[in-house]
Amino acid sequence: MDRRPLTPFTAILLGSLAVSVPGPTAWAQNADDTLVVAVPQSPSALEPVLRNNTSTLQTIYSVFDRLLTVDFHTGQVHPGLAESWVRIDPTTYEFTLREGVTFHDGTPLTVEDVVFSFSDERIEGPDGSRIATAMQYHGTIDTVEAVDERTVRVTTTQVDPAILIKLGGWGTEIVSQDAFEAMNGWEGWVDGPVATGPYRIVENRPDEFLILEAHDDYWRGTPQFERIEFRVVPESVVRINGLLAGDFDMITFVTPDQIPQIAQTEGFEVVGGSIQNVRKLTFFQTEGVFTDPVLRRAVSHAIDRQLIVDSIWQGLTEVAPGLQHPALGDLFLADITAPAYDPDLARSLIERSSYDGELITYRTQTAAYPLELETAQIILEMLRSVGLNVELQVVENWDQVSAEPVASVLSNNSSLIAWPDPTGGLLRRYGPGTVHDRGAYFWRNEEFNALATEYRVTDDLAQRQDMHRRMLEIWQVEDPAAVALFYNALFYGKRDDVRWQPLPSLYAAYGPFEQDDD
Amino acid sequence: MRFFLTRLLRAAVTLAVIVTFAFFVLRLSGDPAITILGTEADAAALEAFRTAWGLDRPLWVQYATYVQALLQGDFGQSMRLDQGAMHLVAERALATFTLTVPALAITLAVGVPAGVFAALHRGSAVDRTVMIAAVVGFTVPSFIMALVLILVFAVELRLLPSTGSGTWQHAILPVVTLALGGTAAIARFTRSAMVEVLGQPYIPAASAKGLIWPIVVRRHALPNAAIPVVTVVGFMIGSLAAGTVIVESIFSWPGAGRLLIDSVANRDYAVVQTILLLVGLMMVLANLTVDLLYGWLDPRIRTERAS
Repeated sequence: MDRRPLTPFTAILLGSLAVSVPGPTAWAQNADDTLVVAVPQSPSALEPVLRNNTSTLQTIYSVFDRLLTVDFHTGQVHPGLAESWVRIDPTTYEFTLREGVTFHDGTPLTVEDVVFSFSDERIEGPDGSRIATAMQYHGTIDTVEAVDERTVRVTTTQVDPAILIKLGGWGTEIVSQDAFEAMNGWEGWVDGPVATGPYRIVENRPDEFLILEAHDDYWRGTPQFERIEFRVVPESVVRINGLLAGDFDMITFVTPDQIPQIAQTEGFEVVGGSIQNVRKLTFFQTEGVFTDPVLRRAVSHAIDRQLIVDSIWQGLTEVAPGLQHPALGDLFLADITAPAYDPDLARSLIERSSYDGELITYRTQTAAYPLELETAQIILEMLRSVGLNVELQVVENWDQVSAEPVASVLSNNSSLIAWPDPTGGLLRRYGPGTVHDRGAYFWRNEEFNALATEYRVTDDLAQRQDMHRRMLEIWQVEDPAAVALFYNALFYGKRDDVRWQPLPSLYAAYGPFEQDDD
Repeated sequence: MRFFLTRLLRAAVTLAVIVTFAFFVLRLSGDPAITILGTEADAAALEAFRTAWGLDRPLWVQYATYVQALLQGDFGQSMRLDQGAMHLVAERALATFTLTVPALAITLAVGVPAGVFAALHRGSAVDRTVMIAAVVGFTVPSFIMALVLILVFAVELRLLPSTGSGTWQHAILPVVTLALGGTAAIARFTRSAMVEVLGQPYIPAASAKGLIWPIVVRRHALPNAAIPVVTVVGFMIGSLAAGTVIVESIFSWPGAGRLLIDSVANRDYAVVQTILLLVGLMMVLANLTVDLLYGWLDPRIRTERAS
């Protein structure tokens, strides 16, 4: 056949398409050993000490290992890069590193790497700017030093019964010092940290894709997928269409109303459920009507949490019994329940409070959390029905949520239980030195603060349970800091032949031991 | 010359207003520290972020610094992606052009002939068909059109990818989505302009001189009908760089429109300001081109300017 040459215009068009838009593998050609996951956002950082927001927790968890690992279901601590550990005294632990562990670049893990991973140079972030969010997790770590070729000693500034759990949590990832220095420090490091996890970072194009490849020498065995491609697809409807079209093997952030569309299509399923993240209604109480704890109690009793769970969430999550989760293990207080929905009691408390019909502003964003606006609209009507004068104010971002004036303002919030201990949730956000101890979200209760301080250094389990119980009573009943509503829930749509199970957490793990072994 | 100088002055003022307005509105409506670092970041980290990016300085100092840097060709750094704003925007604008340029080409290639044809056959079944199609194309929002195309061609027929970039096939659905709306608009404008021109006395006069109908249309109708069409095309050219926000979001196309959305949401000041500056510049250039075309199409305008 006679083929005509391309006109200059056509050539430019086709050329620009071919050259200027590089991307991952073509559609509908996903190799069996490649997992393509559609996510709404790129990770906001590839170095975990810098950020711990959802987009990061969902994508790069399996790039890294820690000295220890934590079972997200039971809260139990297991060996990680440290094969064993011993408590020398109440503030000193020694960890013996596992042999034969290599970084993604093939170099062996050494004690110097562990020491470097906890050094100020890394933990404070680029140029010592201290913008790293992990700094809040390292509060009690005093020193990390090498004892011999395989032993690392960690000392804490005070007795910290949760230190082992923290060393298995976010912000304590072990990375390669040599690779950091070879990349000219933070300058190159932010584009692709080198660690020991089951997957290594191959390429990241923000707002487009992140590609991971299996770390074949991974010390726990060969990872299930040779390659994982996270493709950024902001619109949830389009993620679903892409899944059903075969463009993706899995998608994240499916909302309850979208589940039937996926689950009823042959060859697809939805997995997931509630996670260790508590959705709350937060009071601004530096000034205005919410300085009165009686009114805050009234708000708590005016909200039918179960109705929200049953209607908006279709019963797919649970009411949160305070800022706690079963993953706390022995420290989860199963007999504590959320304050009862009792509109009569709420009206009576309003009568007894100093509230006199002042306008209350309920600030919400539309989708900072799943189904946020829908939840806010239900709560608005519940509060109005007990006689509160509330208006809904839809705002664009977090800064506008906490913008002055904050008198008589309510807003939505959530608390991540970052590690399975009250210090990872309740006491990470409330109590001395926390974000709620100062600023617009101010809440301070002297008894709570005293208990929080004592709790952090108390080793005895029974005492810790008692203190936890009392703190929860203060936090949600006597002097409510917030209203715990329900556990956030995360659902994933996937091809039913993809063997993968989610964690009850914001973290999404793809390592060989997090797979469904059924 | 005076015409050009006036236009240049106007353009400079327009761009200065855009830059200033964007600068202050962005800073008064959100703090990037909390949106970029996240709500889990503690106060110390937030404060360190603001200090690192100079956000703790008085607003007028930030503005003066920004303008001074801008005049030296420094468009600033993306706080979210830690890259040069101009480099980032240029890269994404190129991706946007790969959608908008073919879409505009299709729009003109199909829309103008369809409008002319409908006008020349006014009242016929062809006219009604073209206009019904144009009304549908013009009124159906692009996000609905995009979802329908994805459902048909990606989900049901599996002929094309639903989203993303990387191959020329990825561009087909977004280009078609953009082109459908544009074609419908151009077809309607062209038809209206042609119908109006064909009703003018100089059209029968030209015919009466003995000119054959195709020449009457080409020499007397089309140039006069082109002015309103050129105006609309001018707007389309002005939005080539970042005017595809919705389509890029739906098709996950890594263009300047999506970058604008993400940057506004994160209050990534330098990037938003650079995109707005680019869009403003495109609009100014498009308007200037349209003005010049007016003079070329209509000698009366040229004479008026000269006098």
